[in-house]
Amino acid sequence: MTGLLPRFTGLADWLADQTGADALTIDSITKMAGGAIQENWHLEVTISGGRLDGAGALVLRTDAPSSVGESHGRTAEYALLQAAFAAGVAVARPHLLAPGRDVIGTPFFIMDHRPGKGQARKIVRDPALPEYGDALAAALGREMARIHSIGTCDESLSFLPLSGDNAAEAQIADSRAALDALDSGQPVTEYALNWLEDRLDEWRCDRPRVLCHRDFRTGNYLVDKGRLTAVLDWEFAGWSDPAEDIGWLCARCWRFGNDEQLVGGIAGFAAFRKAYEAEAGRAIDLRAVMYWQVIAEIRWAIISRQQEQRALSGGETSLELALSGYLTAEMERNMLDLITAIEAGATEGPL
Amino acid sequence: MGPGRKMDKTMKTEAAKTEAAKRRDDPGTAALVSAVRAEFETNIRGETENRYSAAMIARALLILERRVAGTLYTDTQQALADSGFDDVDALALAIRNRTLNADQQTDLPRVLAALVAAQLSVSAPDRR
Repeated sequence: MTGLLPRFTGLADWLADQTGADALTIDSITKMAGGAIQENWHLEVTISGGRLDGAGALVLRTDAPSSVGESHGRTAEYALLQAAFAAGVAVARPHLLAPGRDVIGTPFFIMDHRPGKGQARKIVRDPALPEYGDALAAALGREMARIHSIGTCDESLSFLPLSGDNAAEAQIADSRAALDALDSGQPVTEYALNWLEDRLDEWRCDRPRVLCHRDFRTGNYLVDKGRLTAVLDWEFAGWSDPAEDIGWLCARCWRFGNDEQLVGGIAGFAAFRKAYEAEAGRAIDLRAVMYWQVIAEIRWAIISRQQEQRALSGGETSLELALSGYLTAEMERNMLDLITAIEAGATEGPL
Repeated sequence: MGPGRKMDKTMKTEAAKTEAAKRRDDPGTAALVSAVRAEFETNIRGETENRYSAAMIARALLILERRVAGTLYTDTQQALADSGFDDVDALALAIRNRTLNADQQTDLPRVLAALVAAQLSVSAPDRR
């Protein structure tokens, strides 16, 4: 193909070399929507011979100009994708990794292209959602349980840190460290962290930690004709309490206005719970989920402040990042509402 | 608390605060922001193909309009005064270090709710 962006001129040769193709052409490269932290490029390719013989569409995932402190690099994310694929999780099959900068200027990996839409607001506003919402929530439950079947004994993921005695205390410590790096104090988040710390006995899990996606939410999976086709964006994955992923998926900040639909704005909790528990072979700790919902609001509040700070004092000109800070108050409202509900006697989440 | 934040705080002079307050209270600024937003909504937003960028600009202008015309600054200062602290940095530090006295601790949820409500008045008034 002629007219490729200069950064991609060496890509076809690299792909041909890595796959052993007899002939390979890149017919088009199109930047895909979304991706404030990473960029995804849709590649239409014609390949004959080699390990990707006949492949028509691939996705190249690489770094965007901005990043978030806790996100993994592409090499780590590729290993996570491989582990998830091997565990039977619905993900795009990973094919190739380029950890250096010599091919396109940034590290990247190549994976299958999966069909479907990922934009959260389009999913939660789909007029047909009531027809498939429960089935989609059940699929999410099954996939999440498969992710949680991966334990710390998986040597391919030995690079993931395992800090602190348990996920709850580690999360509180990580959140405070992140707050210390912000330009301004966050009294509501500090209050919520103290409140959680004072009640650790209520939600701390002493079982071995498992692999958690840690950004498993509407907007990070693909839906095609009402069916889940892929779980995306593994850059935050790490060892944690399974309740963290459930609390994150069900956090109000990720319901995109469909507040009555607890599971990511798409469905109630029952179908998700039944499918998750059937796949995992154990019950969800519903009490812990409530507390992890508070953590979810804290994490997103901190990320939104980090993004704002990058735009306002970090030299990155981005209206999207600058506006992020204006989301924080909504997460703070959610933290206070959750704390009020739990103090009023709520015993089982999600709320 | 990080050392950078402490350094920033020492740089906040009373003069700078007064100047900032003057800018917020300038009715000309409020009118200009409103006019820019009206012009954008009427003559530009519907014409552009980049709906995502247009939506972000519209939201930014709406926030600016509310900030300039609203009472975010005074509401925040009132909530802080009720807490006995001069600024959010000092309040956050006291919460972290658990140095609030009993009265401040009792009053804290109300103070925090007021601070959040002040912020929501510009970013999401329907969530106040």
